[in-house]
Amino acid sequence: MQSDDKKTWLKEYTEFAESDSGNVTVPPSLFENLRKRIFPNPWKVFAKMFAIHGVVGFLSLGICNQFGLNPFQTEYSLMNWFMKIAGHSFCMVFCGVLFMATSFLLANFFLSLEELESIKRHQWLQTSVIGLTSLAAFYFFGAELVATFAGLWILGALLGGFFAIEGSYRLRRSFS
Amino acid sequence: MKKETFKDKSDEDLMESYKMGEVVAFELLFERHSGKVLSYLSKRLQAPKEAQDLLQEVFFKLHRSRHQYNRTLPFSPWLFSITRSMWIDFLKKRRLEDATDPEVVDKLVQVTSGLGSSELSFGKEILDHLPSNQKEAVGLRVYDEATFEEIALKLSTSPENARQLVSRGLKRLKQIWKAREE
Repeated sequence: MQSDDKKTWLKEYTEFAESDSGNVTVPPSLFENLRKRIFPNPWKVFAKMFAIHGVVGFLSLGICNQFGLNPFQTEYSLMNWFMKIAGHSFCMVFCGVLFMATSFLLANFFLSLEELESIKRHQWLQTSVIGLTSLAAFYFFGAELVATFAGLWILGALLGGFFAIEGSYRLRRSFS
Repeated sequence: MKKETFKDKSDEDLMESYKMGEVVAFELLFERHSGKVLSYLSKRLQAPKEAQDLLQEVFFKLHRSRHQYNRTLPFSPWLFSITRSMWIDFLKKRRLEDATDPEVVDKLVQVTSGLGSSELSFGKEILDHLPSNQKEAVGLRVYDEATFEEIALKLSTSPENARQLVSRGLKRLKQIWKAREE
């Protein structure tokens, strides 16, 4: 049976290899559709990611306040714990990591592998823009930003974004 | 311009470049092989639209599997394996859909019309009256409820030919039953 399968495979492969593709016209729209699917528009992907981060980032304030912003008026925040175990500077880094990583990890539920790949191609640029915009939003909503702490927070955000994107991508690729 | 520099590269080199992120390498691989893939699929699927959709799926699969490609192995058999497995998966999926599609069930009834339970109860030995390829085709269609594409795959022929084999086989069986009744 197995040898029959092999024979069939070989027979069909020979037919495939020797077929004259000149007789077949492949409509150009097929490649165009495929290209759009494999290489999605980076601006559209960024807009999608930005929207996801807007929602997830806001919700994450419920578990970890950022720069004293506590819209959900929660009694306990991970920020307090970070502060207790590592001090103020590391707390800022950890908060940045958590704020950015949560968004990129949850984005996996809404983005295709190809969209994730698109983000990965410009990951430093995307995390920087999203991080800086987030800082601007914090400032807009009344947070008091100090340059040193904001710098540490951005560092954490970049690291969190980088590891979340890399980890998600590798994991999803291995299952695809 | 960039495309020109890649044009002389072998398929294996292009695959390697694509793994490194060169989009133009993928474009060239599509240009070189999409005709063969489409030709292979068109012979096995009746609707051109289905073959074209599957062609896209084959190259999408190639994209997703690019990191599994081993450069030391030739590209063409690898692509063929993807094409063939995608086609077989497509048939399996369609068969599952067929089972719940009333239109297909109706067609099956039409094909086997005239075969009462008493006739089917003759058992598979009645098929021995048919030439071997018709016997196999009718057996697969009536007893295993296989689609014409599946029969074609099994008999290494086209779906159209599989349809003809089943049709001729059933015609012949009806004649035999008629003769037996008389």
